[in-house]
Amino acid sequence: MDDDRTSLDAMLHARTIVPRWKSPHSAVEGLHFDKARLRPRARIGDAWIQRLSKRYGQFPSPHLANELYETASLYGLIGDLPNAVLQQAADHRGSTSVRAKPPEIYDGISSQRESNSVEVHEQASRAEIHRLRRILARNSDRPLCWSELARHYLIVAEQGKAIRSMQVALQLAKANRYLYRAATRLFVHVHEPERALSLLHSAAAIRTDPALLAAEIAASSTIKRNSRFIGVAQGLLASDHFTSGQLSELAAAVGTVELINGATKRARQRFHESLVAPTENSLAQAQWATEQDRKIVIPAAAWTTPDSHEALALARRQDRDWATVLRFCAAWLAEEPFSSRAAMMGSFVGFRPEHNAAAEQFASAGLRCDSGHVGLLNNRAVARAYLGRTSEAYSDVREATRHDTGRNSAALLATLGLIAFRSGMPDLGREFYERSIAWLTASKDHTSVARALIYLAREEIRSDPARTASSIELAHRVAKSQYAYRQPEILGMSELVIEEAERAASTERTFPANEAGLPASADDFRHQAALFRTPKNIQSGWTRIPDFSRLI
Amino acid sequence: MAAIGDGPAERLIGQTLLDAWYVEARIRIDDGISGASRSACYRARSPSGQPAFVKAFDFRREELAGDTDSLEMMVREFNYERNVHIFCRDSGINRVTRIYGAGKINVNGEVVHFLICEWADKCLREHQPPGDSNVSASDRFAALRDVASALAQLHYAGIAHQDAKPSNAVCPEDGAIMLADLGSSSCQNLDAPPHDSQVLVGQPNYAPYELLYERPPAGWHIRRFGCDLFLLGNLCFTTFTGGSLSYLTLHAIPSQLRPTEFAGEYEEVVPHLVEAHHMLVRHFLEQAVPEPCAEDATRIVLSLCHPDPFRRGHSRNLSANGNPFGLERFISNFDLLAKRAQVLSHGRR
Repeated sequence: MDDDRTSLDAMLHARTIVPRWKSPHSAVEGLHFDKARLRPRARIGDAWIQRLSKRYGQFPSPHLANELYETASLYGLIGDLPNAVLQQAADHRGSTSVRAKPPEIYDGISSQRESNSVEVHEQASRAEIHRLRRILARNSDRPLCWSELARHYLIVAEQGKAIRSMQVALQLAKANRYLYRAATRLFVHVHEPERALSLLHSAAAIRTDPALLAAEIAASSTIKRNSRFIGVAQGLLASDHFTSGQLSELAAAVGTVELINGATKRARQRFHESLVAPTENSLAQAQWATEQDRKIVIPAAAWTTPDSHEALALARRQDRDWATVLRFCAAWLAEEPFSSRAAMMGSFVGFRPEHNAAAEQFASAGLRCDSGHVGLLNNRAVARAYLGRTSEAYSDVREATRHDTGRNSAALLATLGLIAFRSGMPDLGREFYERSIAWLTASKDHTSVARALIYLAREEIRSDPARTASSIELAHRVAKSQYAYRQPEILGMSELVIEEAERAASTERTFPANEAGLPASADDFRHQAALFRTPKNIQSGWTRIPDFSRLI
Repeated sequence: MAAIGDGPAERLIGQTLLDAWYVEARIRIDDGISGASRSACYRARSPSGQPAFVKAFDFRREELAGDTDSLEMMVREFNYERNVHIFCRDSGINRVTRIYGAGKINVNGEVVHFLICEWADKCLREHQPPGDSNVSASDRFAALRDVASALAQLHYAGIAHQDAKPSNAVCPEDGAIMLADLGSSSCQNLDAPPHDSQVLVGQPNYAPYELLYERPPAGWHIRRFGCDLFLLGNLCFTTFTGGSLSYLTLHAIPSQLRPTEFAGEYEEVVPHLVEAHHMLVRHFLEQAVPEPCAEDATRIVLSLCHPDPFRRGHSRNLSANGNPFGLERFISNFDLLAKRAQVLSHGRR
């Protein structure tokens, strides 16, 4: 899930159902089993309760009453006990030290309650690391404490320590599904999916446990490899040994492989199976799949799945309900603060003026876990430029340039153009935008061309009222173009451009100039732009905007 | 006393067994494990005045009912209990109630089989009521040392008790505390009794978690000695706090993971049980055990009751490739704690 995809398009284009890594108590909440398998266990309880009841009948005593109460309680049969036994057991317990309310067991593992505030995660995780290390120094035999330590290390971008902590947890609790899945998430996050696969292949239950199998297939998909367990997975899906809830993620994992391989009919069937009793992860996967194949339908009942923040964010994005998308992104980020996906989406969709501050916060939150993420640096630079913080925006672009391998240079050049516009250098900004658009056109990345054009149109309206009419026309054309299909942000930006232009025309309003001063001189801007590895044909000269706009 | 049945095994009062033991009074009836070995218990006395415990088995009830499977199980349970007691006696085990004899008697034309064992006036539950703050910590640790010694003797002879609990540790008038009731035990050197095939043979509220989840480890030693280690740790916890660790722990974890709800693999629950142990054991023992002994008692309970049977036992035995089920270090620990608690109580006076 977290690879080197640095633009939202690329990130949303590929999704695999790599397990979520939640805190242990959250992970337990989704467990449910067929009670029929527990009947023999209940019969043992019945026999013992009869035996102890008979003995209590002969020799009633507080201790025997307590033993009877404890045994009945273990089997959920307290309701069958006579009042006298309950009373005597309660009296006994009231006179001993077990009368005190015990502490909550997860208080030791996790004292923080997750908050939907985007900014708190890193600080809270640093405090948790400090606390968990103190606990583990006293007693190191606590696998869940180690795995939580690993999770918090990941949130503060200490990947090496996260891996070492997880290794201790795996050593202390062998064959534990929660830890296997958490470790899979960790290894995929740190770009070591092979290690995740090696761990999963060592699990004895890999052929019989749908949750492990789903993780294996998903981890294989991240490295574009077909899992060798697909046949086993098909067998499990056909068997009646598991509930729909237990098979949901496996069905979604197999469905994803089928979809990628072009077997759309079988993929639809698998996603249909996965949505009978979905988990929030399989629901998010299905929402992703609907964006690839419109014939995959999510039933209304599936949307009642608790904590489906990612799925809801993806769905509301299609509806261009940006405020709601940001709200769900915040909840999604709270659940997986180390994941760049939530931060990427939150920082990208916050292009409207009222959401710029939130977008900047999302990007900053993501960058705390991955300080060199080019996509997040670019998104933050855009948000900061819109907020008038052009110097910081310029720094972000410089930082992004340092980390970029060349794949994002065109986008960064456009962002540099935006900063130039907002710094009162429209000619320079226009030049950078035009070069960027030429570059994207040469790369046949038409969606990005459409996006750059609409961003440029917005800046043109702000810098030169004479260009308002042509910019509105361009916005309309972009919104109607084939490149805006399934691109809610392009449509949303077009709407914003038209809205702002009409408002400006009706009120003869002028846009405020940046008062923070120039982030750099024009020469510095040019020097920065020269650092991008622009293709030679683009460097030599580029077509003007009217020519590009004909593409749309 | 509640009314009990009218089988021949329940009409032994006034009879003389093995020409020496006069049956004085009935104590209780016992359905045995899952009702497989219904028996009646009595107090008998020798001509010299020595008391004895008599356990009489009512086979005829099953025979008359035509339930031959149940009859066979009962007979095998009786034979096993007799044989294991004799085996203990012959092996020189002196920390378990001794057998004086076994035989049969004709009661109104019906044969009743019986065992005669050493008598103890009180069990640990009555002698040192669990959770009662009036009992000194020193006495409690001394009793735990004796129980651990009894288990060590049994283990050395290849026997796992599997039902060590406050009512099965008995206190003779003089001498150390002993273990009683080998009816749930398992012996490597004897034919397996019917209950060996059952997952859970001891009382559930004291039982180790892996048995409550019906996931016993493979291997006789790890399964049965591991069970005894857990029961010893749980006895330590129960005797001080008044409540069973198994019960408290299983109520501390989320309901989805309890044996009544959870049908998955036991390994999935283990880390949660470990966390619950770390939160509960210290919390309760710190309230019930004198401060200078609480930390050691906590460490002992955490080692003996580790939810993973493969990690149960003294840390030094586990780390040094020693006998993981070795109880010697725990016996020393309990002895030391008994002495420390005694010194403390003297100091307070």
